[in-house]
Amino acid sequence: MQHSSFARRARALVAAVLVAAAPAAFAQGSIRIGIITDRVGPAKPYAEPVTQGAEFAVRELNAKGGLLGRKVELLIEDDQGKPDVSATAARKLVDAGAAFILSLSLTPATQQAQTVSLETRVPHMTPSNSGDTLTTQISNPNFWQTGPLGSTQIATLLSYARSKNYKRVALVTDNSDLGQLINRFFKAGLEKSGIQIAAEEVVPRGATTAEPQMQKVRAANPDALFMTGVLTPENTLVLRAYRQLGLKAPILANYNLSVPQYTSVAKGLLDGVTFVDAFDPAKPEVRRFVEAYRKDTGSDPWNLHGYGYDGILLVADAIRRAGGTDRDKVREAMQATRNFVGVMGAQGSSYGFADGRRTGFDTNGMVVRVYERDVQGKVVHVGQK
Amino acid sequence: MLELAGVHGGYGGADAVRGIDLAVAAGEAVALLGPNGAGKSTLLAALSGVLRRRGGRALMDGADLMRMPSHRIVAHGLAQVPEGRRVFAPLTVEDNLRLGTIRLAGASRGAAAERFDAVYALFPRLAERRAQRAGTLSGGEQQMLAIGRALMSRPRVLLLDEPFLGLAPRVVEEIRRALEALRANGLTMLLVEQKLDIALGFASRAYVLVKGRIALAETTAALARRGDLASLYFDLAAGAG
Amino acid sequence: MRDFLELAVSATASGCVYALVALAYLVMTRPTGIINFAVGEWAAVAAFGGFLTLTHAEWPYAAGIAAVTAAMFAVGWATERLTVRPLVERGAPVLAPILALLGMLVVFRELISVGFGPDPRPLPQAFGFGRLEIGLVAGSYQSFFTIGVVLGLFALTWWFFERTLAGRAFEAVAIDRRAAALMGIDLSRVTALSFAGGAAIAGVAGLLVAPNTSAHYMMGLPLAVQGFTALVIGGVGRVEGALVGGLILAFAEQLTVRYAPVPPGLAMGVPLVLLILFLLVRPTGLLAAREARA
Repeated sequence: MQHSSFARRARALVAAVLVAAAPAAFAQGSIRIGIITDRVGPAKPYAEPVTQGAEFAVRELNAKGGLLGRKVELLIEDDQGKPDVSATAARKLVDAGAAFILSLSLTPATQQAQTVSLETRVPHMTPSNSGDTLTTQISNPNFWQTGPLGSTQIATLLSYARSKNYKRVALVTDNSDLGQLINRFFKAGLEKSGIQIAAEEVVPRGATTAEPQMQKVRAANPDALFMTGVLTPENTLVLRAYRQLGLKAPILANYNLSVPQYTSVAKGLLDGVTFVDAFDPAKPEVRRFVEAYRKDTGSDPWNLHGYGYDGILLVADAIRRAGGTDRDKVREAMQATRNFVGVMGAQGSSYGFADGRRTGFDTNGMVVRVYERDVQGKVVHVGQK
Repeated sequence: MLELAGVHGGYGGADAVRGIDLAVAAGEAVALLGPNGAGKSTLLAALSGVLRRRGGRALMDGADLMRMPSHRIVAHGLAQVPEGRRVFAPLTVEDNLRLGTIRLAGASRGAAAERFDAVYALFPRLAERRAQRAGTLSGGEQQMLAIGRALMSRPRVLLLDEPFLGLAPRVVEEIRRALEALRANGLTMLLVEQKLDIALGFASRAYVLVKGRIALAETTAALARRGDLASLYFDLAAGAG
Repeated sequence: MRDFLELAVSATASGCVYALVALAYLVMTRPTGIINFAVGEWAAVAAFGGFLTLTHAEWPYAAGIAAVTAAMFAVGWATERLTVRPLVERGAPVLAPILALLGMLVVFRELISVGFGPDPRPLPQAFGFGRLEIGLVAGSYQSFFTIGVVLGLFALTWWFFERTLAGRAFEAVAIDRRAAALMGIDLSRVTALSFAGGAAIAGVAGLLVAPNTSAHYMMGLPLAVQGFTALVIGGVGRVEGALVGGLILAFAEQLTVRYAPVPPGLAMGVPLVLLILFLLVRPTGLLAAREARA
């Protein structure tokens, strides 16, 4: 009798252990996270890798047992870069039960989508966008931004430039909304530091050359040239004209120049260009991320993938601390995020929303790197010191 | 040479001509008469293949023109001198003529040169003005050019749509003599004319088209003998359905 | 002065690209009356073709260009057969193929976007990246190459229309379609050839501009607009008009940016202002066609 009851208990115990160890044992329903991305419009080259990074993060999460024991499901909507479509997409995601929405599209589109998170109080965030106005134009307690702000970029670049004693500089941008926004912030930062703007030029989308603009820059003879545009073809034209016209002033560029396509499209034009980035290749979290991504997909990620990855992990962290998907609890948990170390950011930097801020990227978390020949080279400066 | 059976066609949704049976023997000159709007030009358009909505049978040398696209009809040997001449005004006389050779069988330089010689011989005035832009020619010269252009493809059947319209009597006579020479050489012709006197003098037979149908088919001799030519169309219209 | 001459080379090169796109429109619109806004996407297709043959497969430059141009002939021919001919045969009004081609524009762009992804792709420069100085005049190798190729193409096109029977046939169709048909000119062949030629010409424009800007899936629309503006300025009537229109547009654009004391935002509006001005004041363009009808 003792023997058989022991055997019975042992069998029950083994069965319980086996069930607990089974990987596909997700509890209850899934946790849904919504993504609004641009699949066909102008933001596509940037939104797509961010989306892929987010998708990878979700795969990783689910492989490790999910979030609070529940499977994470990504619902992806395409807003085509259009504001009204973005708002509709947000509403659709809310109706589908999304616990959190990530916006990866153009600044004006994300702005419009915020009207929905403002009204429905669904937690909403952009992990990659750097437009400063996203948290200032609408007072939306349900919205956070963890992309590197234009103001942080310029502050980082400026602190690097300060050591060089530039007196007069030129600004070159494009006519995209984000490019104009970043340009405004760079200009404000430069002027505040007492640096004179000797020339300010715009290369419009679809231009066949940037020579007239760069001729004007050459005539102004600046100490340095700041590139604040975000369109790859137009920036390539600027780099081409720069070399064609024999300009020598050093180039300092916004983080768009960290996108790896420049290595192939602007080959031969990049040597010596410094750019601000949030990706320190030597950081251990980055090395781990690159290896894991490479193993999972077969190709290497770059910085944009990291934003999407960090975005999902930040959201997951908040939901975990909130213990569920209750909107108020998640909002509180998100706002309480402190010292979260992600893939992006310099060594020693972290994400956090202290003092009621809704921008989470560490203001000292950006680095300045330089292109050596056509390869993204070493870090030459960190933060805003 | 040319045999039509049940030919019909029109623009838009409806047929402007219906149930056309007519025949033109080789070497004959036949007139197609009728009041304004009877459908004469429409019928010619159907024969030349430039009318989208057309049907029936139009046999020429065993081939049915109704089943052929316009460019093959020209290659087959049927050419048209359209109403209003429609020469290519910005192009020279020579270019206008040369365009007519585009479907010339055996379009070697020799064959084209022979056609130029023939047309210039027929209309010496064109030879004089060969480098001139067609838009600068007089009305009569443009008509000669339009005819010459059609002749460049060495047609065996020539359709003419009101070739004497708006021309001075002297010019009319000149052109008529040229057409006579062509007929003497064996060219088969179908001539659309509103003015009965000219038509009767030139053609051997005539069909009268009223409201899209053949209302009368007679030799021109018989037609000329009718006393009531002035009211012919009116009477036929009253009689026709 | 040196600045101005350097700018003149750059403006001439850009103007030549616009002129080519305008020529592509012209070659199709003269005989058929169809305005094909998909020319921009054709340029983009050729640019990606250039990426495949020149960058990816590393063919010699001339071979790659020739292959892509030949492929564009086929693309133009196929577009006409599938999009235009069925409508024309059914007697649809001229607006129908124009709208259908706008639809094709989207199809092309999506095919590129799906096939190549959103990232821009590089094309090699014809003679490498370098600077050529001829006396006081200076510019990039690619600029001079572009000018040479475009002038050559215009000369070829002019010779085709003015000196060959086939080209005269095109003219005839443009002047009077019905009379041309009565001459035995095969209208559908002329239409097909005009589309094939238009696609090849637009393709060359794409191949000339992409080494500078990269091949990217959104490059079509700006080119289509620039080419159309050049066409309006120069006039549809004559081949030379496309060249004149393109040069005027590029010079106006670049001189304004370089020398006019206006903010950059306003300088960007120059092409639009020109387009509206010409449409209002002289819609037939600067170079009028020779008189059309007798």
